[in-house]
Amino acid sequence: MRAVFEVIAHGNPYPRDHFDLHRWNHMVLKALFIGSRLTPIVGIDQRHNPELARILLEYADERWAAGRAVTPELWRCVGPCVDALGAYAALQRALAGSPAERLAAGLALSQTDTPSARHLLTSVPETAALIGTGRIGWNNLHHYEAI
Amino acid sequence: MYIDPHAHMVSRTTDDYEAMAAAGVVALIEPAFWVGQPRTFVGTYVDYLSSLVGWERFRAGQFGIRHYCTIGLNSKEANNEALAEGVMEWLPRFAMKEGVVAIGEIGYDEQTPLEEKYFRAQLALAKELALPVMVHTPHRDKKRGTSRSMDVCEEMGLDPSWVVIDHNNEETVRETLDRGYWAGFSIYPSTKMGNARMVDLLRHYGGDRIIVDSACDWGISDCLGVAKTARLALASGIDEQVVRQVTYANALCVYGKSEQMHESDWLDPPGIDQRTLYEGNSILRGGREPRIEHPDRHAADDLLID
Repeated sequence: MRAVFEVIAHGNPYPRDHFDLHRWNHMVLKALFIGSRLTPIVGIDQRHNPELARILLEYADERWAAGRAVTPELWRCVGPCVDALGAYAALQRALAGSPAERLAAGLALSQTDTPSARHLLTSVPETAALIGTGRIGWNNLHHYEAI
Repeated sequence: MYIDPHAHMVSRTTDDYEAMAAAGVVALIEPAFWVGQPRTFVGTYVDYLSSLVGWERFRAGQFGIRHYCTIGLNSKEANNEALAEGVMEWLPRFAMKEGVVAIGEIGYDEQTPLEEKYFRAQLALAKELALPVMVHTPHRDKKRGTSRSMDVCEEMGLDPSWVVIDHNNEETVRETLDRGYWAGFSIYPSTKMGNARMVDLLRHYGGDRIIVDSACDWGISDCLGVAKTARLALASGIDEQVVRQVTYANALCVYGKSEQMHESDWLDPPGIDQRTLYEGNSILRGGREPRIEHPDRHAADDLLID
């Protein structure tokens, strides 16, 4: 099942070029539900949209309420809509998580040019400094898990 | 005594029936759903519905459990329009059979226009036949999908007290209860609700209009979800009355509106006689010794011997 899904979802420009918004969003959600990575999805950044960000933010809340982990990759799709969705409380929670979660939340906040985002980033100076070096990005989050 | 108001027994073994009966499950409801991969013929769907009202009902009875079902076109398979149209034609005939306690489980999966179309059509059917409804809420975009399911029920003129919104979690339960619906919780490992979380919810919300089920199916799930939750709740100090509501009385109250499910069905049950045949077929294999038991619950309570 997962292998078949990834044949379509990973390394393939077709969904980016042809899926409508609803189909695209549900492909991304399905990836999370079956434990598949988001990074190999072609167009994951270009096709970000507020609807997907909202769904993901609610999904993170649901996971936390159930005492389950939230994949750091999720914040990549929330990043461009942090301010519009008022996602600061969720990102603050992610900043207190695993190293990869902290970096992911830091990256999402660094994309957001608002006083609240800057304030949150100052609460994690080491993470902010690492992001500031430009060496950390969505595609190599897991290389920095030890930090 | 427990009722498991959501159990896909066609996927379960006879060991499960025995374990459920031993744990105190007296009755269960098997909702029509998909079976792990989509059906490609209307006929296979019809045969599935036949098994819910036929062989599976018989099979449960052979282990001393009363079996009821819900009839419906599930949301995943609603996306195959040719199949869906065919199944919709058959639904009224099945919905009126003995032991059918609701239309369900219906609702959304990916919240597509076709899912919406057949959800509405089946809500209209439930209303026409005066049957309760079991709503399956989606895994993905769950919160919005749950709200939208209730919006549609209301638009279609359904009375929330006839509708169970199933697979709730901490994020959806408040709205479900506030809007007057029954709130189902599926104790299903890893994806839905855990029973320790369920106990916390009972502590917070009490037992009114809350229903616990196992939703056991062909996935990794536990047919003792209801019984284990009841035990854990009692051990955690939840009031016995609340536990009885959520593991027995509430399900009977809402699905009993169908007039197809009565407490007397299991309080005064037929005996277990595994020599019985269903359309010529037996659950026994290879000359196995049949289990034959006469109901003795009443006899045990009867003080007078004459």
